Amino acid sequence: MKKYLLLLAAVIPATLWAAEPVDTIITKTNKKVIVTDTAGTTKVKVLENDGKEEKMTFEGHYSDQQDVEQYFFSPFIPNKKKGNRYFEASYPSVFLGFNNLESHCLSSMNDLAPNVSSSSEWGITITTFSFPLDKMKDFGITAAAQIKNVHNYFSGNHILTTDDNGQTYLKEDTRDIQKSYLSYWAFKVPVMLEGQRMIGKLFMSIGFSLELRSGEHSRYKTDGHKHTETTDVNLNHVGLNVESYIGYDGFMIYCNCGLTPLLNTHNAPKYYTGSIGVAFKL
Amino acid sequence: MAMLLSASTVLAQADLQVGRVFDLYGHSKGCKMVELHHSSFRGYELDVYKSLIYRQYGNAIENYLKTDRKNARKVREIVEDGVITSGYYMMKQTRQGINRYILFRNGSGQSGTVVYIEGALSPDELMKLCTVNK
Repeated sequence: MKKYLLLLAAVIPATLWAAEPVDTIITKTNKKVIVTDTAGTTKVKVLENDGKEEKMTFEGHYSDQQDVEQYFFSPFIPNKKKGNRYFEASYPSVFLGFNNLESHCLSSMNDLAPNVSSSSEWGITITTFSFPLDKMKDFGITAAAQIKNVHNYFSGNHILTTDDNGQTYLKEDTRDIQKSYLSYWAFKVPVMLEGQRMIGKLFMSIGFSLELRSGEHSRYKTDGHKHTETTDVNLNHVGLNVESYIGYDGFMIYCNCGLTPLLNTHNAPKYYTGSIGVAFKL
Repeated sequence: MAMLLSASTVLAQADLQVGRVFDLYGHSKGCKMVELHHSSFRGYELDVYKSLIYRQYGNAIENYLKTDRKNARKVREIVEDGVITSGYYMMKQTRQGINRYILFRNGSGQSGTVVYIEGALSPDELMKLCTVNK
C-alpha cells in the first residue's frame, strides 16, 4: 500500500498542472492504478488482472476532510468467518474390514454358520463430492466413487457352486478343502448426510450406497492348488446398502448393511452382506 | 484522579454515535460488552477499550456507525461481494495526541462486533494490534 501512496504522491503534483479532472493510468505487470482528481478529492483505484478478468482490489478517496480506503480483500483483519469454512466430504482414502454374509440385513448373529465364516473386504475412494446444507458448513450431502474387493469365505468343505440347471448352492465336497470363497469387485457410489465439527474434528455420516458388482468367482483350494469352481453364481450385479461412518480427523470406523440380497434368490441362497471395518483418510 | 480520568474518557466519546450504541445495547439480551480503562492490550497502552458483541440489532447499530463514518478522519473498510464486512474509522482527536478508533465487524445475520479504542497508538499500530497472531 505504501508503494501506491508514494506513487500517488508522485502523481498528484503532475495532475495539479493539468486542467481538472485528470485521469492518470499507470500500468505495471498485472496491476493498473487509476488516479482521478476532481473538486479537491483525489480518487485512486487499483485493478488487478488475474489472467481472466480485471478486478478492483482497492479504492481510495482522499480529501482535506476525510480519507476513505476500501480494500476488496483483507490486508489487516484476518478473515476467520466461520461461514467461509470449506465443507469437505470425509470419505476414506483406504478402507479395510470384515464382510460377512448374513441371512438378513442387520442380523445380530450369523445364522448361516458354520457354512459361512468371517470374510474380508478392502477398497479405495477414487473421488468425492460434497454440498454443504447450512451456512456454517457443518452439515452437508456427500457422495463418492469407490472400488472395493470382497472375499466371502465358506467354512468346512463347502464350495459355492452352480449346477447345470443354473441353481447356485453350497455343496459339501468330499475332498479336504483348505479354503473356499466367493470373490467379486464392486464399484460403489455412497450418498450420505454428513455432520462435521460437532466436537473438534469429529464427523458422522449416514446414507445409502449403490453397488455395481462384477468379476465374481467361486474358488477353492485343495492339495495346495487353487481351482475356480464357477464364475456364474447368480450374483445380483446391482445392490443397495445402508451405511454409516464415524471418525475423528483422518481415522474412521464404518459399517454397512445390504438392503438387497447378494445373489439372485430365485436361483441361489438368500445372502445379505454386512461389513464393519476401519478406514483412513490420507 | 482515576475517576476524573475515567470521566474525561467517557466524555471523549460523547460526541460519537458509537457511545449511544454501547449505552443502548451494552446490557441488552444477546449482547456482551467489555469495558476497560487505562489498560494494556497486547503491549499497547489504551486509555479506553470498549467492545460489544451482538447477535441481533445489526441494522440499528449500522445506522449509528454510518453517522460516525461521515465524521471520521480516516475510513478503512473491507468489502466482500459488494458488502462492507469490517473496518475501522479514525475519528477526530478531542485531546492532543490521543487517537480515537471505532472498529467493527459484521457477522452473519444481524450479529457483529463493535470496538471503541482510545489511546496514543497510531493507525499502523492499530493494524499491528489487529493482525498480531492470536
